Amino acid sequence: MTAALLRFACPECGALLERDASAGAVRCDFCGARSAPSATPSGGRQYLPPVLDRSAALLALRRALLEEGVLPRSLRGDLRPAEARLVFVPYHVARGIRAGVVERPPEPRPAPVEPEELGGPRARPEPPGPAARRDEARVVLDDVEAAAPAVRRPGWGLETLSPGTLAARSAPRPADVEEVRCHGPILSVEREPTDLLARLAAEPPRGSVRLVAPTVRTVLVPVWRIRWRAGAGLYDATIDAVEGRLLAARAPEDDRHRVPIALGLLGLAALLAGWLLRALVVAPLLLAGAPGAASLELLLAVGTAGLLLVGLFSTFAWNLVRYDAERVYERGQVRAEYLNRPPLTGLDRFWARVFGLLGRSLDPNSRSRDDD
Amino acid sequence: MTDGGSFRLVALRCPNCRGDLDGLDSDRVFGCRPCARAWSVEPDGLRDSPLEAWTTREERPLYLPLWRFELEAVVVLPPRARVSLPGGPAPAERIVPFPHPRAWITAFALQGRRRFGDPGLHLTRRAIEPPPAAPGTPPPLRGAVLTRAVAEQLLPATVLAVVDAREDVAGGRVDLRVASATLALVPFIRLPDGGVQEPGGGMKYPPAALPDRSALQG
Repeated sequence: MTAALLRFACPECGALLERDASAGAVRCDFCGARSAPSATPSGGRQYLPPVLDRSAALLALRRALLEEGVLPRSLRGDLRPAEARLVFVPYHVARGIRAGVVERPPEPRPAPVEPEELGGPRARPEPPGPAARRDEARVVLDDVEAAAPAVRRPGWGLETLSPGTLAARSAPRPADVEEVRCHGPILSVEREPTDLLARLAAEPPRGSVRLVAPTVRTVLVPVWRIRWRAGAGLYDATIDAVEGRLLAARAPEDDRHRVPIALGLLGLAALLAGWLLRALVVAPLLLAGAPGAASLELLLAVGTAGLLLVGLFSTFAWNLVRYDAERVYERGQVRAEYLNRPPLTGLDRFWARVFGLLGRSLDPNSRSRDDD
Repeated sequence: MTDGGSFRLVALRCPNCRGDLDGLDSDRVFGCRPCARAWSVEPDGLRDSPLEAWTTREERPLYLPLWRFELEAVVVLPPRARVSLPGGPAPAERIVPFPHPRAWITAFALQGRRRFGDPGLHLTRRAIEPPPAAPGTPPPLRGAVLTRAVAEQLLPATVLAVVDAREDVAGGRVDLRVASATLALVPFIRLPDGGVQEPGGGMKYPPAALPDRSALQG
């Protein structure tokens, strides 16, 4: 009902109605009679007129990339917009009245009151009355609303956008398709609102609550999809076209320090291995005099541990140098993402095998099984 | 009525007098002023209820619709003791009568009931005795978005909310019998900031509580 425009015939004269009757009462252009849908109206389709034009969106992107720390400082002057496109993303907005009884979570214990002899306040019994009653339930009768994007666009950050908050700055208007398309293309609905309604009805999980008079309307929210260049790379970002908030973005990672960091890691590993060798092997040998069989065993063990340590650090350092990284901004957080890096590299698999063998050889239970 | 897949279109003409029914496009209940009837658009067609307006001394009141249900209700609560003594009687359910003869359900669109309050719940809690209906033709009905059937679904929660002030209603159920339902046009006082106040100096509701304020005020 929310995805498509429904056409009906006038119940009085049979003429085809020109307006979407799923949104509410309509008047027949032919006979003038009004008629209303028998089911709860969907609220129809609305759209939020965009506030930011192209140049304002690019400015907002530049500011947001710097403020959120997505763009490395070294690349500040290297941001060149390549393409900016305004698109309307459909959102399902579900509303209803939540009515019923919610069970209270267990109340925290009151803080202990010090006795009067110790200088604390006098412990008073709770006065009788509703405030002192320990109810296990609370009656709710409240309006609830939830919104979710009606399209699947991973990496666009659409989940963080709420049409309700944007409506304060851009009043929703009935969505005339031709008028909306003057601004930009409209993405088609890919998801039905059934999940959203089910989620709204299921919250909160404790108690017996029902959702009364649920309605779903579709709101077309304008967002800017911007492609921009930095260095030789092409990156994309999503900005909401009402408030100019950054929803999602990809940016190059500042990789000038990769090789020094890798070399530093290797140096640190060698230092640690040398320190282990000196503290655990060389110093005891110097103190004890001639090396015995036990000392050689210790030397072997420490040497193996040192090799493992150096190998591990080398793996990390090699992966750091080998794979290119990008900064990804999603849900208000920046993280690094290594492009083309498989979840488990060949070196990772090698080390997993080495530690597996080591663990099995050191596990006393596996030894006893072998003896059996 | 015209078939249209999941729902039909219902002509907004009074089945009694064939006159046009009052109401906004987004409404679900439409009024016939000459017949003083409120017609709910239900899935199976139009369903009528009496329509009346409260008398008021206000010069320019804003008439907002509320459902008034004359009812008898009891809340059946689980026994306090979970287990019975050996040889003793089984723990009995407790029956708490609903203390008022009527309940009110807000029929107009309201936003943030928990934050701003719910006029229907306030009138129910205060056990408001409705004033005599204003003589003559009632004012135009606008903004009634809850049908009678939907309003009846909210009755158990309203009854529980009143009883909750005296008893812990955890695990309770409501048994109710509705004698009659009337759509009342309650004259709210217009406030300078665009909000409204319940008649008789009751609760005030800011403009943010009334999403369709401009349409309601005509």
